[in-house]
Amino acid sequence: MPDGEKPARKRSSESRSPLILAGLVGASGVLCYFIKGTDGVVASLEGDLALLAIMVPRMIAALAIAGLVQVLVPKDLVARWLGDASGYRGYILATAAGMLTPGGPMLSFPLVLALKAAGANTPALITYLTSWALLGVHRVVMWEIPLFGTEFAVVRYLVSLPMPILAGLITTALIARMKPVT
Amino acid sequence: MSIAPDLPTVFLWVLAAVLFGVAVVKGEGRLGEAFKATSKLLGMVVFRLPLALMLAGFLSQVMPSDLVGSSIGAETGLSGVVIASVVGGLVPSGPFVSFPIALTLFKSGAGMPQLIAFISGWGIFALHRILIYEWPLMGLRFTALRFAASGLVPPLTGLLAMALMEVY
Repeated sequence: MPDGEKPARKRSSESRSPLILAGLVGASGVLCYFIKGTDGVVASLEGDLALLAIMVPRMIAALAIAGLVQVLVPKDLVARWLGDASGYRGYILATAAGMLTPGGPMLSFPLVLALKAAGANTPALITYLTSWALLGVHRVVMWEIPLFGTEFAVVRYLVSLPMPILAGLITTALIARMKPVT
Repeated sequence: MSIAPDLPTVFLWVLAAVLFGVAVVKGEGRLGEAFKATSKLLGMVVFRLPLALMLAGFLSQVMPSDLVGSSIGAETGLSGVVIASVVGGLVPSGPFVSFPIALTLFKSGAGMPQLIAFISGWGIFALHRILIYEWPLMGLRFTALRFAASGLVPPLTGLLAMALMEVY
């Protein structure tokens, strides 16, 4: 995984993305104005403020967790279990971890960030996120079984079961293809 | 708007406090390192989070969310599966919104494979999650890579469900 190999290039893409984001904000704002008028824009911005008030305290805690996990979890351990040499064991471990991570993206993404800094490779992280998104046990219990019944939940779980590892394998293949170019 | 602490926020702060305690006990400058790592992350997020929230907000304003129901019935097969995968990914919110929408679709005649594709599409793509969390925290390259690697997953779950139902 060439993550650390081209720091200069990575930095430039990182500093570019807020600009891209700002451009998208402008475009979507104009679109919103034409479709929903001034009221739509104002309502949207008010909603953002309310959301920001909820998100800021969560985000600070989540980033503190990410920083602490980076320092506390031994790097060689992460590298051994989720790093480049971890192979299938890494995929299976990442899938299991995704199934068991409770809660929303404010926990899972900072965790991914911390694991990345601690030496986990990208395929394992994508496997983890796919598993968390599709196979999270807490969501099945809280939402799916009560709303759709056990049969639906079982069928959906069965067909989703191979997907995290598949996504991880595709990631590995994509990175292997990109390597000669970068 | 109330700023009363909600359960997820409390949970995160308790977890942070526990890890903080562990770092204090373990010592050896770990706390300083953690502080440095956290500030670096904070610097990344501080500009992107407000922008991402604005983008997600505008998009949810212009998105037609109630156009879908009839187009993903059980008889729509593969095309319904594909539509459901995309629409699921456009649901700009968490499970408190996506699952009730899925239930509405279910009641208005969406097929099981299509509904499975819808739920997978939301899980994998959920636009707001990419905008608010993934892009700011993980960067564009990681986000694009994950998109490419799992783009086919939602329709695939729908197709597998169709196959499974055929067998029965």
